[in-house]
Amino acid sequence: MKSIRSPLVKAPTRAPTVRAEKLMPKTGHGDGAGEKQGGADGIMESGRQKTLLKTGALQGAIFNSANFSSIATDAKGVIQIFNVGAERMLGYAAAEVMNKITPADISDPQEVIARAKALSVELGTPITPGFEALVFKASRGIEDIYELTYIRKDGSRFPAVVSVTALRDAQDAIIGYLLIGTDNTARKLVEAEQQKLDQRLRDQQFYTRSLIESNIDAIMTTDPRGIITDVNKQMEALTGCTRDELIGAPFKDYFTDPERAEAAIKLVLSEKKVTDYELTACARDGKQTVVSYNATTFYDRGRTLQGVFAAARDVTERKRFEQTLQEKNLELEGANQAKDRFLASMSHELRTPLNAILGFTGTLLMKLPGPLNAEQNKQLSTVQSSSRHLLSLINDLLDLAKIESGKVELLPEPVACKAVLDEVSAALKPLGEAKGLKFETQAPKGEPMVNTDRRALTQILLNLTNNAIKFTDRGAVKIELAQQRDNGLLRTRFTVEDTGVGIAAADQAKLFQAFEQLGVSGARRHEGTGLGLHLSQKLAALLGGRIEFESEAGKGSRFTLVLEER
Amino acid sequence: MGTRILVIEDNPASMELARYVLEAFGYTVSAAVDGETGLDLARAEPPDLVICDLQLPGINGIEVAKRLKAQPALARVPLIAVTAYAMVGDRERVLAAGFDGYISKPIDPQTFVPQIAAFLALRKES
Repeated sequence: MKSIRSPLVKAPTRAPTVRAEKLMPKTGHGDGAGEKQGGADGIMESGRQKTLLKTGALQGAIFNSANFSSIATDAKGVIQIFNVGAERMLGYAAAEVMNKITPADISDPQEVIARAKALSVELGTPITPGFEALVFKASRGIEDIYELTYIRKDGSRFPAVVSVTALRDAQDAIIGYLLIGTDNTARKLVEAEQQKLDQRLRDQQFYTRSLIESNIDAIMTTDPRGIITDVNKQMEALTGCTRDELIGAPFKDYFTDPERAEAAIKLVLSEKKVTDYELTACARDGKQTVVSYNATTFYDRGRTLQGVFAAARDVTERKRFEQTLQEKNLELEGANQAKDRFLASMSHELRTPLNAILGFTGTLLMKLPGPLNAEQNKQLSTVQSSSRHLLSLINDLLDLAKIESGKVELLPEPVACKAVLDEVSAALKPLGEAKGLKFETQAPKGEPMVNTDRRALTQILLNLTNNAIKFTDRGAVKIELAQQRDNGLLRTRFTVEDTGVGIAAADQAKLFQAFEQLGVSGARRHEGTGLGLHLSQKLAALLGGRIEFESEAGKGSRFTLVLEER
Repeated sequence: MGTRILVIEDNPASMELARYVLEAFGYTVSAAVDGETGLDLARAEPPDLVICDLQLPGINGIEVAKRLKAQPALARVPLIAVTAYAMVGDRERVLAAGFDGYISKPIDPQTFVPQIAAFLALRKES
C-alpha cells in the first residue's frame, strides 16, 4: 500500500483540488483532468483513473493507510471521515468524532489562535480562530501545508505536518476539506538532535577560537603557498592590520625581509617544524618588532596538508637585553685587557730599575771594577739578596694576579712524573746541599704519568721544596712520588718532607694565607715572599688537586700535592 | 779589532750595565738608543751580535728584528732580546718574531756574558 504513487496522493503539492468520490455526487460520467488532455495517452490515463475510482481501490489505499491520518470534513469542518491512521495517531475511534467535532477541536488551541492571527495579517482579512484558520488558505485555492500540534484523546500531544485540500463538486463548489497529517515526532527529534549537534559544533568552534585568541603569541595559519588563512588579535596588533586585511594576503608581506619570511614557510613545509626562527615584523605604521617563530605544518583528518600553523613571540625585549649584555661583556673584556696591560707594564717598569740594581751589585761582587773589603762585600751581598727578594715578590704577585684574574692558561698533557722530579731536584739540590742538607728523591719503578699542566706542577713542587730547604737547617729534604689506582681513580702524590722547624698547631690554620710567614719564636725571619704556599694552593686547585700537610713543631713537615684523575 | 756587539737600549742605566759588563770581558760595544739608529749602525758595519731591548722609542724591538732578519747581510747575525717583558708568553712571542735568543731583565752579570758567548760560538760553528 505504501508504494502507491498516484497523482492523487501527491495532489496537495501538485494541484489544490481533488475529487473525492464518496462526497462527490455520482455523475455517471468521468470529468477528470485526464479527459481534457485528449489524445491516445490521455484517453488511456483517464480510463485507468476511472477504473481506480470506480473500484474504490485508491480511496481504500489512502484511507486505510495507518501512517497518514486522513480526516475529511464537510464544508463547515465537521468530521465525516476519520481513517485508521487518524484513529491510531489520535486515539479516537472514528465513531467518536464523525459528525461531532472539527479538526480544530483536536488541535492545540493556542496554535490555532496564533495561526488565525498570522493569516489575518498575511492575507489582509479577519480570520476566525477555529476551523477556518486551518483551511482558509485551501479554501482560497492556495496550496497549504503547515505544522500543527494535534492533541490525542488522552490529552497527550504530538507534532504533525498537515496538508489541507479543499474538496469540490463538479461545479467547483467546496463541499468539504481533506486534512492529511503525518506524525512529525521523529523529524522533530532529529531536528532537536541536529540543533544539539550544531550547538556543540558552535561551542567547539568557540573553544578553538578562544584558545587561539588567548595565546600570548601572535598566531597565524597559512595555506601551503604562504597565504594567510587565519590570525588572532595579537597578529592584528603585530601587523597593525585587521583580520579581514590579513586573511588572503601573503604572509611575507608583513616582514622587513620578505624573502627570509618566505624561506621560513618553505622550511616548515620541508622540515614539518621550525623553532626559534627570527623575523622582524613591520606594522602598517612602520613599527618594527623582532619576533621568534615556532611553526608546524597541520593536516585535516585525511592527513592532507592544510598549511602552516605559526606562532610568533615578541623577543624585542630579549634582543635588547642580549644587546646590553653584549655591550657589558665588551666593556668587561676591555677592562680585563686594560688590567692585563697594566700588569704587563707594571712587570716591565719594576724590572727595569732592578736590572741596574742587581746588575751593578753583581759586577761589584764579581770585583770587575776592583777589589772589595770584607764589609763592602757583606753589604753588597745584602743589597743583592734584598733585591732578589724584591724580584721574587714581584714575580709571585704577578703570578697571583694572573691566577686571580683567571689568566693562567693550563695545558693538561701527559707528564712524566720522574722528569719533573729530576727538574726540581736539579734546580734545588745545590741549594739544599749548600746548607749541608741531605737531598733525595724517591719514585716507584716504571714510568708513572700524570695528566696535568707541567709548568704549574713544576712550580708547585719548586715552591714546596724551596720552602722545605728554607725552613730546614739540619737533616734532610726528600721528595717522594707515589701513585695508586683506586676504584678507577688514579691518585698521584708528590710529597715533600723535611726535618725542619715544623709548624705549631696554632699556626697551621693560617698556613696558606698570603703574606703569612710563620716562624718559631726568636728564629730569624726567613727569606721568601710569604706568597709561596698561597700561590701553590691556588695552582693546585686550578689543576683540580689539593695540598695536604702534616707537621709537628720542631720535628719537620710533610706537604703533599695530590692529583686525582679518572 | 775584537768581537763587536751592537746594543740597542734606551734605558741609560741598562745601557751602561750592558756596556760595562761586555767591555769588561773584552767585547767592543757600539750603542744605539733607538731602533732606527741601531738599524743604521748595523747596516753601516755589520756587528757580530746584536742585543736589543723590546720597548724602544720609535720602532720597537719586534720591528727591529723583522727588518734586520729581512736583510741578507744581517739575517745571520745573532739577535738577542734582553727585555723586562718577562711574563708568560713573552719568550715565545719574542722568538716567533725572529729573535735568536731571549734573556729577561734583571740580568745576572755572572751568567749574562757566558750566555752571549754561547750565541757567538754557535754562530761561528754554523
